[in-house]
Amino acid sequence: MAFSNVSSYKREKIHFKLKFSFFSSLALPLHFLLLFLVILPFLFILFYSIINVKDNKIYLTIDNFARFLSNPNFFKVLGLSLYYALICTIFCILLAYPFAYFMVKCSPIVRNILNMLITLPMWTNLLLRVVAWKQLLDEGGIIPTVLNFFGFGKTTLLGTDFAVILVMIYVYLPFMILPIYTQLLKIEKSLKEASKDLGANSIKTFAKVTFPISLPGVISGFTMVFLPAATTLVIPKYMSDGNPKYTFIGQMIESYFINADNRYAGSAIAVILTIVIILTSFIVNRFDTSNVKDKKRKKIKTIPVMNSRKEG
Amino acid sequence: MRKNHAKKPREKGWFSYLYVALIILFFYLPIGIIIIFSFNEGTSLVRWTNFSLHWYEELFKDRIIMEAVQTTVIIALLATLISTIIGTLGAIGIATYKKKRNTTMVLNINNLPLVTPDIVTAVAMSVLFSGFSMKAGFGTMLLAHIGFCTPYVIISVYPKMAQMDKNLIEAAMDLGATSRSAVFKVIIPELLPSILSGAIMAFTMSFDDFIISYFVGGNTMNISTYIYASFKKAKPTVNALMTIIFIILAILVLISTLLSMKGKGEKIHRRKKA
Repeated sequence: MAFSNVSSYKREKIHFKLKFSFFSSLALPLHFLLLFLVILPFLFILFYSIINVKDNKIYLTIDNFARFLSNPNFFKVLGLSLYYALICTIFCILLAYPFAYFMVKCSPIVRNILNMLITLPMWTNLLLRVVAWKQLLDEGGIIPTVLNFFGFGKTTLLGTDFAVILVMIYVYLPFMILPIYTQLLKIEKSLKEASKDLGANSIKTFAKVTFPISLPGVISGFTMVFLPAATTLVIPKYMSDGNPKYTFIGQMIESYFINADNRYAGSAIAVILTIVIILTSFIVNRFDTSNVKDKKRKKIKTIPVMNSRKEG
Repeated sequence: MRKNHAKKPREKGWFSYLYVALIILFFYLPIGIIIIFSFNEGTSLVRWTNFSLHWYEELFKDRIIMEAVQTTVIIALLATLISTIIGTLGAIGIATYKKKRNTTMVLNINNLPLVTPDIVTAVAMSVLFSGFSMKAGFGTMLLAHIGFCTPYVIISVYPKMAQMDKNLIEAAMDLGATSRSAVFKVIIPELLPSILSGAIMAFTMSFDDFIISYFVGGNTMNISTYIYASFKKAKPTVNALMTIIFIILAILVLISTLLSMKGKGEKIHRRKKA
């Protein structure tokens, strides 16, 4: 009896080990992929940012960084990108919050329909959407034509703050609506009712209950709008109409990397940009009080559908 | 819009409906105008002259656009297929790690491309390929797309795999299933919805990608890089292309929404039964 017990125990153990190694080995291709297509590229970018090649020899240098960090124009471009991204993000929060708030109040079917209606333009090719706006805002487009009709003497709206920010809002608004909506959806009705039963009016309930709970959604939306908006290449390119005032950091990387074929300088900007982005996310996440107050509450996870990565 | 009639009046009254309708209008007005005027005979986006399919004919005659469409579709399909396989197996693998720490580490690395701005990833990939002196073109574009699509499959499949009842696997193996048949007959069928949604995500990401393709594609162009390259001369053919893509996309999104609504209904039903 004892013998058979031991053997079955052993067999199980061996069995388990085999199983374990088999299942774990399924992740091998993933490891290769992450190593070669995620980790290595980032190491390469770091490496390229500190070297330069002259006469087929590689030199270690800090020139790539120095040329930008000593250049006031670079800071102007960086500041401008962050400034426009911030304005766009603030508008997005102001527009998205009421929308998400009303959306949660709808019946489940209407909610699903609205969700679909928001997702659909988000998944349409970015370039196509921006080109569409360009045609609408340019000379002969519908918006200047309407403005002309009312006596504003504008022929084209391209190259104005209005055009740049409008299209930014258009592209990034869904990424603000969806996380706020997801977070608001989690608030249980009983919580609001309890607050009202305890004597708070609806404004107070909103300020003390609803808004604090929805804050992680706003913060997650902030990162999902601000970061891509600050690094966008396409929107200022199409909306600026050649006005150099709207040269953002994305175009600067493009101009070094593709037009001037200077990989080293391009990599250095990318590294600086990454540092700025990390700092920004760090600062923004500090506002997420839910992390501190209540460690058990899970931070809302970025739902894949609404990830904004493709909206460069 | 249409659904306004479907809504039941609630406490907030007309203002909320008006607001929701205005935002939806903001999203769809530009797309709508472009779709309507893609059937216009002339090039104007304001004055309607005559209904014609002229721009659609031009679109299908334009060899460069058709090539770009072909490249986009082939790359999207291949990248989706490969990244879905690698991602699904990977998610199963990392979920069975004994040390949670290792799983977390892999997931963190996996999230890296999701949180870095697109343009940084694009520069990194481009630098990598030139570092290995690979010629920019179809191959590098495909590799890069596999690289950025796989994390989406992982974040879609892994949570479901982690939630899955491990007893299910044990039971299958007690009943004589080999590890391999346990994966194919038990785990993957169970994960299928999340694998599908991961694959859809990967496909749209690859299909719509601009920046990464632009940095690593060389002379190979997909739809986005083609439009960007023809920056100066935006032709109405592009509007015809947008109309076609939008309608296909709308049908797909509608189907997937209906499926997910149906799936939810079934799940509730099943739970009630049990």
